[in-house]
Amino acid sequence: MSAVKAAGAWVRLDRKPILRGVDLTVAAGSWHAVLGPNGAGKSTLLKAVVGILPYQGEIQVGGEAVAKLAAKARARLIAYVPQQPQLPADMTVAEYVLLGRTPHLGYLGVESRTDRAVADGALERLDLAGFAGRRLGAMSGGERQRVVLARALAQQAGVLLLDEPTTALDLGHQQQVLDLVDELRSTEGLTVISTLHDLSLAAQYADDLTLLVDGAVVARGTAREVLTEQRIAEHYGARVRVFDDGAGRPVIHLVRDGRLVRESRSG
Amino acid sequence: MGRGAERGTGPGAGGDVTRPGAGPLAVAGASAGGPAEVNGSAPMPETGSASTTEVDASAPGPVPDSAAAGELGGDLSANPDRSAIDDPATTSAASPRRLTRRPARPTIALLAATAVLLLAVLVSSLGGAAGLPVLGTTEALLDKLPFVDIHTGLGPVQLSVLNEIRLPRVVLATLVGALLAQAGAAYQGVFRNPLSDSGTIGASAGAGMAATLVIVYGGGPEHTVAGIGAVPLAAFVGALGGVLASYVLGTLVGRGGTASLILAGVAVSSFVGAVQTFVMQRSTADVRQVYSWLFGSFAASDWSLVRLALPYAVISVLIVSVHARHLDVLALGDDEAATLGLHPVRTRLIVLAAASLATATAVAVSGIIGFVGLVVPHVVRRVAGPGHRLLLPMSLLVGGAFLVLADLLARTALAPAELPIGVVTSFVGAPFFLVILRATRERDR
Repeated sequence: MSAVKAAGAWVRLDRKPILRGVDLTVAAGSWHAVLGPNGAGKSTLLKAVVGILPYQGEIQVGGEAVAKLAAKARARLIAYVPQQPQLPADMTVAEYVLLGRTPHLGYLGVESRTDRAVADGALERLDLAGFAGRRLGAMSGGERQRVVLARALAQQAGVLLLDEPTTALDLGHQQQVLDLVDELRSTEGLTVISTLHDLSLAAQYADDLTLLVDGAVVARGTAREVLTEQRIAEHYGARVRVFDDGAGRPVIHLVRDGRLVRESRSG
Repeated sequence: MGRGAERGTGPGAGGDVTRPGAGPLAVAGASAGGPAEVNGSAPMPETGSASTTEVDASAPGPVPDSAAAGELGGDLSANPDRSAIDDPATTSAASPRRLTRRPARPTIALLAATAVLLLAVLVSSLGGAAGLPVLGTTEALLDKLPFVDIHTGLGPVQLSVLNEIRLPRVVLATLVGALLAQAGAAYQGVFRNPLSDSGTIGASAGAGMAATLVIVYGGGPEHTVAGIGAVPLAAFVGALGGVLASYVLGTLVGRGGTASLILAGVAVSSFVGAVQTFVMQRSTADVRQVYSWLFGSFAASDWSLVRLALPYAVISVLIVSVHARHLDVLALGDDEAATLGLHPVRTRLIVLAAASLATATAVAVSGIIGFVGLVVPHVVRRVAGPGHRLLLPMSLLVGGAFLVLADLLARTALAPAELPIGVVTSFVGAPFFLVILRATRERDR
């Protein structure tokens, strides 16, 4: 069963095509990584799926056409974490996470006991209960990413879209955040679609990958199928070696320019 | 009257008392509504108060040990779950249904602000040339409340001074201050820009130009249309026209985002300002009149102006208040708000329209009064946090109190002459604002 499905999806911004007939199939409960060089249209694809960019073609979430859903109904199906979430500095963590309940509230936005309990649960789930009263402005990078995830979790949507969740995080926090997402995926049954810059990380965590170049899909499949030396050289313009990590997942290494290596050694 | 002015800073002082509470838990709920009290006084008061102090302790300053341990553990082991389980203190101290129980602090803040406003109204009703007695005036004010019937010791002349001169002026100043402050909070929320107020999107400039045109070419303030003064009418229409022009242009030029709206507002304001300056310098005879209007005044207050303003005030306040939580969501930016099920452009349009109606109403009955809309929401935010469900009603109360006291100063400081109210709001307000900023500066860290 596919949780998210796109067929021939086009997005134009200022009449310029950004996505050109993208197909995407994401199985329920899986982690799908969208890869591609800068400007390939990865973020645009996520924004089209979450319904904040108009598109032509077909995009379905849970069997429903995204464009036809009312905003609230859509928000109950899909949660979205942008690359740079806006975190109002004076807002507290608890207030912020509670905003995740918005699609479940009436027009006046009065939260029920249940809404508070769900937000409470999200805080605890991400080990943020002790931070409930903290100002967002006083949180570190890793904590902030966890707070944003808690907000998305409070939304109780089955599909979670993450745009570059590890940008601006150091190595340990990258791993921590991705582990967390993976755990949520398995325990809460979430379907995760994320863009990722780091190909090795994508290979580690994602079940399936889509390689997007210039608004079109050039490869899809498992990490081993998609991430080949030749393909990376062709689309990223990068010299890489691809190794196997021993568990069947590829690891990508950047390789220094051979001529310069020789020069620096002889010099 | 210096003491009156000192007490005029009451809103801040009163708010300061509640400040520590405006820490984490108070803001967490951010709403004051009915269910709050029910939950607040819910089952186990002991646990309730215990957890409150717990959180308060963890509030502004150093991180409490348990949380720090949790954070550290999470960082080092890169496994937050384990550290939480290992350390029972973290779990037990942190968990007790933090959000399920609504805090009582917003209610306290609102009550304090209401008390300050009532005090400001009383003080302002007393101050002035007629020298009304404190006790009698208090009784007379209480007498006005429904179901209260007190025999006052005021003579007929004093009563008529109070009823026909003081009160309409005090009520009108309260109304205008409340409207301007709440509209300012709404503008700042809608534009996600702390420097926004009614001047940002062309309301003040539009009103100024329209009023100037009427004063210079339209027969002046004596002229009336259907029983309503021509100048208030023109100001009202001008304010809405300025906003409408800015909105339409901003939407045409950009995509309805905040930046293009603000820029369109700047363009419209300076264009309209140029027209106004041109008209003024062509007819120097009317400049004095125009100026006295531009800086605002409550000298012409009477009950008919209050009656004129009240319906619009009620409508705009209701609409803005209903959208308090929408403004909280808008603070996350248009994209994220949309993914949470909000219609950012539609919400912005509705709140802008309502706030502009409030501004137009205020400008029509009092002229252009700066500073209130810009600064009162900031002061309130420092005390009550950024949540609009507390910010908006607090701005109403504090804005009303601030302007009533400013008007008291305006009519008594150089009595029998009157200062323009706009001069007073800025002269008193600016230093006061800096004091508030300094007093609450740990929030900046």
